[in-house]
Amino acid sequence: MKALAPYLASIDGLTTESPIDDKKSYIHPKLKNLGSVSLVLIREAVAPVVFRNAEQEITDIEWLDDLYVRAVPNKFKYIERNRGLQILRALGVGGRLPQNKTVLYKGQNPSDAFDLNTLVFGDSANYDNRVLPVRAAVNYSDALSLLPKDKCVDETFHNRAMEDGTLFDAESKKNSDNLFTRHFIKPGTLMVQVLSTRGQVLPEIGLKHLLLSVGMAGSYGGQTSVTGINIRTHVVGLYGGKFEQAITSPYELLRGLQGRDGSDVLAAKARLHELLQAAHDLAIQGDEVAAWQADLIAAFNQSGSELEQQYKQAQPKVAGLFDQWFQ
Amino acid sequence: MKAIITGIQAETLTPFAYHSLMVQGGTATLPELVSDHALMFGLAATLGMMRSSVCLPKKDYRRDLDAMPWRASVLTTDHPRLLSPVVRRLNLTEEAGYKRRIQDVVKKGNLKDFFTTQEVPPGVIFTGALFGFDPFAYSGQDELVIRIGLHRNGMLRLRPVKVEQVRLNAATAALFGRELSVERYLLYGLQLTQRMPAKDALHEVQQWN
Repeated sequence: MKALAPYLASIDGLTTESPIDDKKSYIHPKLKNLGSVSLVLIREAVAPVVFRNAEQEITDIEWLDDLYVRAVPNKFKYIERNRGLQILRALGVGGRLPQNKTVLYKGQNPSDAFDLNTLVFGDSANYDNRVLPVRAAVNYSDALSLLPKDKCVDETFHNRAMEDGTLFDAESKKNSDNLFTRHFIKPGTLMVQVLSTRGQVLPEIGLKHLLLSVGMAGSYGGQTSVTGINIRTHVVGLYGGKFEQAITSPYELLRGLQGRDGSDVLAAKARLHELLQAAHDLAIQGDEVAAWQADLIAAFNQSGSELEQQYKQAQPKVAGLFDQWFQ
Repeated sequence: MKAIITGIQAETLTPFAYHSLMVQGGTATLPELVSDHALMFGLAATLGMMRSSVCLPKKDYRRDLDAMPWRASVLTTDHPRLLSPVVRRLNLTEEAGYKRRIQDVVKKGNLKDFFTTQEVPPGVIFTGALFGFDPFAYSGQDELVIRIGLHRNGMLRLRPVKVEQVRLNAATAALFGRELSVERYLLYGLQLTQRMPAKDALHEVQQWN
């Protein structure tokens, strides 16, 4: 993780002080500097998943003369942000308010609502008659299927049958017309998604929090998650550079995968890593990141670990940032 | 401001949306342009010239644009496209309920739980110009990626090209006390002038100080 330091913020230097004149000074957030880190993930459907829009069909998008399944960021971000809150609550360093309902009352400090989760995933709060907005340090991209939609979506046909197993409704003396189809993404479907920062805004503890949240979430299903998790996450790698690169768009990554087997996780990971590595100053392969993730989860499960100390040390610094900035 | 004109070709790498136009049940994006503000602020962020904080400062475009070493034209395209609406959900009720007062407002439809946005698809190409600064020479990159749109989720790839004619934004000119004739009024903050040669545009924006 040390190699990533040039592209991350420093937890000790979230704010700086500048003089107004020789007596007075003011505190402001540290000036942004060049740096971008991208965490590239493959989301694998391990049980039927539904990513629906307004219609019964799965949300899709036209790209490269074909249709691909498209999951908008919230489908994953929501779950992972929620997991992040739970992690903070478990360690007693934040997560005092429920997700998506941040309200501050007069006299409260912004840090009563905002915590490390806010810094990583973004949030906003109503405060008196103001709105306090916080930009997410990490942007979630669309998740895009590696195979065209017709190869990874199937449908089932349902009817609302009567108790006797037929469609005959004894009360109205006619057959039920309550018939419908449900579209779902087939198990084995792979989707690529990129989580990226722009500028040195994410401190190292924030990156750890992100990896932990991603590693411990893993399920989303809309209607279908009754059998347990239905999304497994594979890490392609972590990529850093001074500038964000065009290849970190999932649409560009898909272009690079054209003509290859889109159902083999290992092959897809290797090819994506090859594409991403060529464009970045720093590339860390997925296995290494996954090992960090496993270490972080183990450390989280053990009380009094070094990770817990780091969270506890970071808490007042993050609180200080929000309190100083919004007042 | 230096007399440098950098023609810009911008290609959308991911979909992006703005709450530009009211449509039934939600908003649609203006598909034929990327505003000059989006370009200037996006570029400042990409080149590391923004505040480091994830918290936003008080809104003041005049102050922010004044501090930038460049001015920009609006980026326009001849082939505007929009994706079909995507349903978004404002799930404020997920982990906790609303207060009664808010619930009543939601039920009356002022604060919708579900609304739609319409995005510009990937692969659309816009052109325009940047004045006073060549970001490609400055950064030593042959292409730059900037972020625009809601939640800065839209990626835009910038490349240098030769550009003859551009449109300026009269609303930005007005911030600097310059009055330009408007050919198309789109939004309060987006008022397009007629097409003009890039040299004339440069002459105009040099007075935006």
